[in-house]
Amino acid sequence: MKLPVVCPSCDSELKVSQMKCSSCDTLISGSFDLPVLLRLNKEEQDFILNFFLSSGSIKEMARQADLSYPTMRNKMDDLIEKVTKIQTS
Amino acid sequence: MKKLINPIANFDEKVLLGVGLFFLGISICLSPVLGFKMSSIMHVGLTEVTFNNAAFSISKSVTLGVIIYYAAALIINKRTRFIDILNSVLIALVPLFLVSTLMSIPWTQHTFSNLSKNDSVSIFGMFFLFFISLTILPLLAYYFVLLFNGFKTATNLKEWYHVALFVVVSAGIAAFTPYIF
Repeated sequence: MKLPVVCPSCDSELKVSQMKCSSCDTLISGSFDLPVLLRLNKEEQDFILNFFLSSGSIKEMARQADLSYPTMRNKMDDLIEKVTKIQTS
Repeated sequence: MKKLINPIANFDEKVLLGVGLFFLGISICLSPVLGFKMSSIMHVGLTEVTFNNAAFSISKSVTLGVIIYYAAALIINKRTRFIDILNSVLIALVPLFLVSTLMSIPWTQHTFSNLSKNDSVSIFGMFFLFFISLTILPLLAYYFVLLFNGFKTATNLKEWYHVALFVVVSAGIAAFTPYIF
């Protein structure tokens, strides 16, 4: 299941307004920002997860994805730029 | 097919280096036999040349081209790796070497020579020239595609002024490196 992170109507960032405890049904309401990593799309989140599971080796990720090191490096750099923009905004 | 349009993005750097150096070696060996000389990575001429001369001119052309492109790449992206630029240049030269080989075929030279002297050319000669042109033009286009795509992948080039820098550097290499050494 995909977690929506942008509004399908106006493309603004979505915030968390309610969280529920699955064991006692306690509801918590408020306005919470999504964590930085959850504001990325699924592909980008999978990319970061794969990077972590490859022990931080871009070369290993490139080997698994059957792509070259510079291609993976470029994806990493683009993602770093995007995450930096999200953090500073 | 996509992998052949941008091999730098898809193949391991060691494989690309091996292929590039292999074709470089073949070109150095064939250059004195077929009679072509590379004065820069953008210029190949048909002329008599010795093995030592061929080895020197091809090595010089590749070295200068790689150094100049690497300097430009560092301006665009400080993280650019030298091996990626080296592979971009070496792999891009493969179609150029094929063009040089085709142009060096004695029949091609003979037909071009007759045309330039306004001598008659046989129908077979015209068909042969037509076939050679149909082969050479796509190979030349492929050379530029490989060079640009390789440079783009190596530097993660995005902005229009990065493309402009690549074009200016390429023009500079074409204009000035034949006269160095």
